[in-house]
Amino acid sequence: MLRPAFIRVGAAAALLAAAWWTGAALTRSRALVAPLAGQNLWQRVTEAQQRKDPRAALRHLRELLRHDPDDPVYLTAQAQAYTELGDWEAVARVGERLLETSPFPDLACAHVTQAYSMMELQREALAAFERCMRLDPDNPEGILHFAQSLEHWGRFDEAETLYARLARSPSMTGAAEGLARLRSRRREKARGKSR
Amino acid sequence: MNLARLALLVWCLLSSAYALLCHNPLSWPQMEAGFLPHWGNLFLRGHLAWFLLVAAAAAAFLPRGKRTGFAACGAVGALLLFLHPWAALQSDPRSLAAAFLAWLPLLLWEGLLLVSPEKPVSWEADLPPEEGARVLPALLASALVSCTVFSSVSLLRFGAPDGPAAAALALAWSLQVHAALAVLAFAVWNFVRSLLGWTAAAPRTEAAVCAAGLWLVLALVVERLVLHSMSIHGAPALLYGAVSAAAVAAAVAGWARSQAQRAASPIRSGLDFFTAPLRGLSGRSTAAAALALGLAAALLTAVCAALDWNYLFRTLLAMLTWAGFAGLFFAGATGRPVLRGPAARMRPGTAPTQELREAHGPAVWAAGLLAAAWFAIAVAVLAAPSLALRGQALPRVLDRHADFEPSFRAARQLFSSRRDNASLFAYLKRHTNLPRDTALRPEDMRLSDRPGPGGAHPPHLFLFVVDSLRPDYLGAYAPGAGFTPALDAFAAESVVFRRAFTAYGGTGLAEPSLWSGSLLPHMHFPSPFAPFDNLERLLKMDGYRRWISMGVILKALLEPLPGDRSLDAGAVGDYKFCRTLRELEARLPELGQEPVFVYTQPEDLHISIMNREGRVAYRNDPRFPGRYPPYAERVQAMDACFGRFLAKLKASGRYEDSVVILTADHGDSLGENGFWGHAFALRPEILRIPLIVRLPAALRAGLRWDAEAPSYLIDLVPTLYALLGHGGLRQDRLFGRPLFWKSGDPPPGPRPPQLVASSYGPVYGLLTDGGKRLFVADAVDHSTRCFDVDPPPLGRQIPCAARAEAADGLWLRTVVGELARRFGYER
Repeated sequence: MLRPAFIRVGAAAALLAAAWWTGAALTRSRALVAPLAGQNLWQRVTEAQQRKDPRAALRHLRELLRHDPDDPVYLTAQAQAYTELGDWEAVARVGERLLETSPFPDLACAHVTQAYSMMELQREALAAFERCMRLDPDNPEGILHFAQSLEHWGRFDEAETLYARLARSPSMTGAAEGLARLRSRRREKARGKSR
Repeated sequence: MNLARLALLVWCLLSSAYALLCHNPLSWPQMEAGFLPHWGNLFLRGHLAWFLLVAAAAAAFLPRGKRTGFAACGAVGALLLFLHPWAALQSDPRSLAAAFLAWLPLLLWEGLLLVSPEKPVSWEADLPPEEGARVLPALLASALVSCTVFSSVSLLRFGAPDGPAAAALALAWSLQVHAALAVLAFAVWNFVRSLLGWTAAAPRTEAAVCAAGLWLVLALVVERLVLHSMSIHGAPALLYGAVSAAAVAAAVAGWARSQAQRAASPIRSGLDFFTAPLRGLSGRSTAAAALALGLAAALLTAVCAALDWNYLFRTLLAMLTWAGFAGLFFAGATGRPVLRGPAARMRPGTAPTQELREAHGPAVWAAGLLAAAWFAIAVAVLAAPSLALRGQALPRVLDRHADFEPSFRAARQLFSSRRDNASLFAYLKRHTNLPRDTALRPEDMRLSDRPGPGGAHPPHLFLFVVDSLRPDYLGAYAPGAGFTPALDAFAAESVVFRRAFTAYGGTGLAEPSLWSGSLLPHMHFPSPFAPFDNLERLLKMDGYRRWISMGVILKALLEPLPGDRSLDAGAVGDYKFCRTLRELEARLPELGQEPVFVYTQPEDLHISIMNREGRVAYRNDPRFPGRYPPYAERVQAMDACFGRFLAKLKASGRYEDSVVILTADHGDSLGENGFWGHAFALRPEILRIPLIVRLPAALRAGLRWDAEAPSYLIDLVPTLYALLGHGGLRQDRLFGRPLFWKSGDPPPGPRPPQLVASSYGPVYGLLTDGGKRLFVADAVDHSTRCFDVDPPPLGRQIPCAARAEAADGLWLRTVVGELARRFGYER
């Protein structure tokens, strides 16, 4: 007695699901003219990002970029994946492409400056920082990163100027710390000289 | 009894709707100003009396034992209404509580009737196994007839704007979608019936399940469709949806029960119970009722198009029409199954596969219909590259059809996926309509604090911001519009910015952003506004006296200054251009050395004002070729007043000391795409505005401008700063930029993409490529659209490339996120 009932309910559920999917397919007409969108490649990229699998994300991104080679969203995701893999050379390459082609080049700044800094390519990093400061002069994160890099390279005066720009902002505690560090360093230096 | 039920339902519905409108900060100013239709004011004025009348009528139909209790509750309700009249509701939590409480009388009355029925309903012992043969045809007929009715209205009203081939394809696709909708409804019924069959439930149980289903559907419709349209989300929306749906479902079930009690034969199923009021209709009566329903739907669609709010009324109308036709066709087919399957020959104990085939004959038909739909999809996918109809891809054809045809639109919405761009839409929703108690901790948003050059006294400033004025109704922008001679003459001696836009498609945010000269958080009446009110700062710095029409928004935003003189002092919320100009004409002799700032926002052209004041909808008026006559007629009248005012200003000798600016806070849709007004939509005709700036000769000398470059309403205040000699202006993507520069200075570079947004809902857009391309992310409909903004005024919808869509979405997030950061609020 149970089996026919099961079959009846199962068949009804299958019909319900089929009706839903048919209606959805009829109305989601984008899939009809954008076959690439129908493959859900971008969905797979975001899923790979969520499960911290940059290699899988890169695999799908390569396919997407084959169709849209300059897409800033895909390129940004690619730079992110390479960052997670620590492939700084690739990050710098993709970041430079973003700076060249993206309508929103300032969004590539974090990647490209970080990549050059990690590779200790000071000249390239400095050029990238300066370019980014021109693109988005008021970005506090960008200024802080630039100041920290300048401090790392021993260019204390320039770093201090940038730290001072941010020090009033309560959310930029790193800037206040950096400023305090540099001023303390200068005081110690002055004290050393006076001795 | 059913008349009393209907009266009680209407009273509860109107009372609750009014309380909700009062609670909503977007609609509250309209309620406060008494902007209700005549019958609405009548209802509100006699609210308590109507309640007493309706409650007394309802009590008369209760059994004696229950009447006293109901009367006591009614007395308490009347006392509350006396102490806290509905007309005194404010925009506060009490209004929301009132919206809930308004449903109580109906719930109580239906509850009392349910527990003490006058007469029991007679039920059959078992559910009829062959009912599917009536359900599927009724649903299919309902869907297809609805589709035909609404498509016919659309074709008659708007023709086939994309050509007959596109119209035919859209209609064929619409029929497929409607058929799929009918099959889905049948599949839901079939699934529920299979579960009930498993538990050997009786018809009475099925009726209860149907009532629960009705409640669920109504709750979803109220929550998703109605309340989201009013930008009410979250727990209050869910709860209100549940309560109001319970009351309406109880009334419908009560009506069905009262008819079922009188039925000659026992009730055989849940659907039989709910269609009991239609029982016994002959074939001819059914056809007549269907014809009447179709005509009513067609008529109401045409009538409520111009009154609609983001397709809400037409979508509800389409859904009611589906339900009405389905009920009629189901009841009309009583006793004569349309799909004669082998179900009647079903025997207990047959082999499962045989039983499956026999008992589910209609289900097999439904599966066949789905297979046909998949065949159509396959054909469309294979033929997609060649499905170009005059360069228009299939999605665009369907999008356009959905603009005109409400039934297709509603069906599409029902099936549409909420997963595409889900995170972008969720992000936009989070940043939209921020509650009024949101704490803003803005960074320094001063445009400039440098003082002016001093010396010569600043010019008088006249800023006329005409609500909803479209540039294509002015001869200066559209040579075909020959009915604005005064404005055209004014434009001839001014700078006409030909590609001007507003950043916000609605006064609620357009006006504050004009005053701040920047983009703003999506928040109505941001308070305190002074930290980012750059226009007021400029007026204070340069010692201007203000003559302002203090509308609802400005009243909430501006701080009173000594020396202020209001314009339109006795006409809050109803400013007429001619009346304001007459008042100004009378004040012209007062203009002296001390600079005066004049600001008014006439509302003659606003869609709600035109609806309220009435429109003569005569088409093809020869005076206004190709334009909407009631609107054009008002523009013509305003033009005459403006011409007279300018003549008087010139005669007063102050014209050469004055900067005169004529613009609009936003444009409007005037039914060209089946859409009216500017509620939640972002379209080229809503974003395009006129922007005409007349400078005194002395000020204009040595200035340069680019009239073809994109310009925005938020550029006006930076422009005034620059014209009045305040240098050091902030320049970034949140602020506008001056429209003029000195001859020796380099011209400004190309503008970055500009964020635009609806003032009332989570609909955002991006104007790119020098204002030639518009990307819209609609988090209300969960859809994206792209427009080629040329040619004006309507532009042309174009397919969104996946790449551009992703990039624009990212840019939207960036700017919206930057607003959150710069204005210091957390979402």
